Amino acid sequence: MDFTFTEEQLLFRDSTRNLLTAEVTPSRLRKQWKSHGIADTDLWEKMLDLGIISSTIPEELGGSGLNSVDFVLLAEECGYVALAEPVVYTALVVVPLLCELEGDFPRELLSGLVKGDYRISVACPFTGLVEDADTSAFVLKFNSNKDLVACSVTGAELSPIRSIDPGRRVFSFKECEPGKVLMKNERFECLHELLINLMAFANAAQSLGLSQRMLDLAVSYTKDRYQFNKPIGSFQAVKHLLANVAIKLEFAKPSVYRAAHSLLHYAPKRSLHVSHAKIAACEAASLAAKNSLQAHGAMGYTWEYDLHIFIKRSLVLSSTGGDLGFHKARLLDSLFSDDYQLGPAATFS
Amino acid sequence: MKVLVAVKRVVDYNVKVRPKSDGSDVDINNVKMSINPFCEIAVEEAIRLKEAGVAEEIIAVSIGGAQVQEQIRTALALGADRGIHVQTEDSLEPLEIARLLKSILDKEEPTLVITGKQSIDGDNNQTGQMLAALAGIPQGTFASEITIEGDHISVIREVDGGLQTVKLSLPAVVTTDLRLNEPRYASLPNIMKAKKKPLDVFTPEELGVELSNHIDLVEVEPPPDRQAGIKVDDVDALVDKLKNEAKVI
Repeated sequence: MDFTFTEEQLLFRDSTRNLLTAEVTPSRLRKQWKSHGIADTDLWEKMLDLGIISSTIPEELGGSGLNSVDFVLLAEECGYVALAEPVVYTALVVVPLLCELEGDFPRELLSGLVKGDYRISVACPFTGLVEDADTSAFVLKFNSNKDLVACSVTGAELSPIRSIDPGRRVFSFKECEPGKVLMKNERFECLHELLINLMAFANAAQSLGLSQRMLDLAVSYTKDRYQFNKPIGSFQAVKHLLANVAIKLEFAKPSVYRAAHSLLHYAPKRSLHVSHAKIAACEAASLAAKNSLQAHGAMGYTWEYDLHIFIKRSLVLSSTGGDLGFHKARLLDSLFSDDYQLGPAATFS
Repeated sequence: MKVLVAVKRVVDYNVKVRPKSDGSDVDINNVKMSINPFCEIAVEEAIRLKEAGVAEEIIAVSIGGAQVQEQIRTALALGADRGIHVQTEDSLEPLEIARLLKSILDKEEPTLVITGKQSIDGDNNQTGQMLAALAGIPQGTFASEITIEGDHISVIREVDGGLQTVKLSLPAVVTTDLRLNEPRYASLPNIMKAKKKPLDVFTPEELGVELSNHIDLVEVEPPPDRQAGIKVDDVDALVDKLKNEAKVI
């Protein structure tokens, strides 16, 4: 069985990486922080031109038809630069959710996304908060009847919520008129679980990229910073801190890739795999944040140094899309259920 | 008009290279490889010519082991129409590369050949010039702007101290300088389309080229470590040191 990514998937990643590393610099992120919540639409247009936004939309609707396995590396790249634009949520949450639905309106919404006519956001199933609601035309959410609805943002009441990560633009959302019903409540359980899985998976994939970025910053710093006439990275106390992060990250990657595969193939254990991925990736990001900060010493705490940008994003990703407590509980419920299959024969089931 | 573009696989420009422990060559194990930046500019210029309706077909050619197909695929994803891979595992010097490209030239008969002015690994700055000489066609090197005018091409060259404009009859070889254009990113739909574009593979024998080697790589060593700087007391001392020690003013 070949678990490696294809040449094409790596080329998607490289092309996205080239754009993001050139465009999404820490100075750009800082400028966005100071813009008092005004969205930067320029980058979104570029990503639309490159087909990243519409990449997971089916080909017959004008997208590229990528799936969760194809996009997982792109999501990592978005995490690596702490991308503020809701690209990952659009490609990995909004689009797959709409693709699950039947009828003309979901297809209309997807076509609008491809053309760049508007953006669509989704309300968090845990908090109801909506990221980038002000730049969206529609918000997908479950109403009080548990129907999945698309609410128009025009006329809706939006109140900005202050996040620990200033790069994130979060709003509480109250629609002025009932949204258009996309799916009645008979599929609530299934769609609600799907939404949680998609958000958790999107956050897990971005956390991998964030961990790598924090590790890279720490490695670079500890090679440059000298003490006792040696780079501090040559001392075991520092070296091992960062090696621990690298190991944690390497072991988190396969769980995220497996979650991508399980979501794509509707594997019966997909929720379990997603929760495992979320826990593994966010714990790796948490360790990366802690150890990178320590490896930097006092420098790491300063506002002027870039490390805090990534630490703040990792904290947010860890607590959204279901916090670790939620995912650990879900993991435990699965593992201790009567029908759970253990052993090598069940590894790929 | 048919445009032939040469693309070379090199260590990515963001990677800090280091020699092998025995100093026999640069260590490229587990190092990210990319299209040579000047070759990327060449591809971009060819695509712009096609978008302007001047060029009809763009052929991307690369020489090397099986992995160079990655760079050809990248060129195809950027907008080239088909690829040619000359497969050889030998380490080639510019003259041999120029001879192989000449054989492709004879086969394809392009109106315009665009290459990078040099590759960032060898820094030889010879292949384009040698190719033009072997093919007996004019060359416009270090191009910062090109304009097709009927059966001629006008090339603004970046030369020491300014710009020089030359007018060449076609077919011709143009080598790109950094300011010719800013390459685009490959879009995801184009990356998917690239998979279906044709890619022909030839060996030097099939092209009738017998490779020979005139250069032996003796040793590769890193540049010496930078010495620590000093603080000067005042501007006069700085000027004095720049004038008498560094001899730069």
